[in-house]
Amino acid sequence: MKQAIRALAIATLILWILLIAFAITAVYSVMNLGINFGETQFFSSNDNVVLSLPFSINNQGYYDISELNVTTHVTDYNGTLLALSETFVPLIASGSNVETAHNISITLTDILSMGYTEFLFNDSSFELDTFVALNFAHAIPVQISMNLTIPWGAPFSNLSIEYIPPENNTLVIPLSFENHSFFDIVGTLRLEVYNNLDELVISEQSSLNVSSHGEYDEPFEMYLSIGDLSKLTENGNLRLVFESPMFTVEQWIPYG
Amino acid sequence: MFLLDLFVGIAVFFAVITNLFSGTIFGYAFSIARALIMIIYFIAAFNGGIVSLTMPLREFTVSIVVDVKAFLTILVLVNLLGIGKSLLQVTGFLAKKVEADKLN
Repeated sequence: MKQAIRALAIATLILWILLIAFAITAVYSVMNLGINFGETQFFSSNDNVVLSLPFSINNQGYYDISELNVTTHVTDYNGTLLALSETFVPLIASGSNVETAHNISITLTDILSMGYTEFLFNDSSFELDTFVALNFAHAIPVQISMNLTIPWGAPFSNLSIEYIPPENNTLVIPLSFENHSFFDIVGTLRLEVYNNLDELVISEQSSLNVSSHGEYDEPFEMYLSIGDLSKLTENGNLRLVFESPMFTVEQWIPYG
Repeated sequence: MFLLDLFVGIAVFFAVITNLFSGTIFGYAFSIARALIMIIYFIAAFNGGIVSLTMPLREFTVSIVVDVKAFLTILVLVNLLGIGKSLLQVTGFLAKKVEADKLN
């Protein structure tokens, strides 16, 4: 009986020592964890807009961090999922430093195909939900979640187009907009004039290069032949088509 | 802070009372009661093994959820070992008492 009691006392003591040692070293390890965030960068490639969040984790603690998984959901104000990004780091061993970046890729053509052309013409905001899951010391799963509202600047904000009846066979249509987005708008802009029978009267194309947070304010000048003038009516529609490697968008604006 | 005060209160109370009644059956009973109360305390303090914390920062809110079930399980097991030890001690104590009574 005495030996059993002694064995239990020793086992309890050892377990208490191990538990307290683990608790102290775990707190020390968390305090020695260096998490640094780099400057957020925006890229635009083909039809993608990439938001890159570089970060580094310097694990100077006693325990490994494993299965680090960073997931980001980008949703609109209605909660519709626009983009889903995931970054996985299998292991950050004790004493090591890991540098990586979490890239959130938004395909503009996908968003436009969902009927979100309003994002191109009106400033809005996105909800960014980030979940970080990791396993500390291969024993303690940790989940960190945060949500953030990020403003979205429309590339064709405050679009203004005005139809002025032709003078001296010349149709001058002033066009202006502000690029509130974080990317430059590079592509071609085509303006087509349709009469009230939906017949194409004339079209004009110009190249466009508007820097981020820049303004565009230039008129379209179109020279009308006698045939074009005869087709032109007092009312109709203007069709504005913007084509770029990132996306293609059109806007119909009635005139008259 | 309240949880820490409570822990200190439980530990001090049972340390005093167990010493006061040491050598009697009540001393062992209080040891068992201390272990049971500690088990309940740890389960309550660690919220059943899921500790969550929400911190509002400048522009966003961060919530942290830590799953300490493994740690809590070991804490409970240590206290169960303590109960086992106390039960063995009380059995030994009663056996000795019975032997002494028989001899008298």
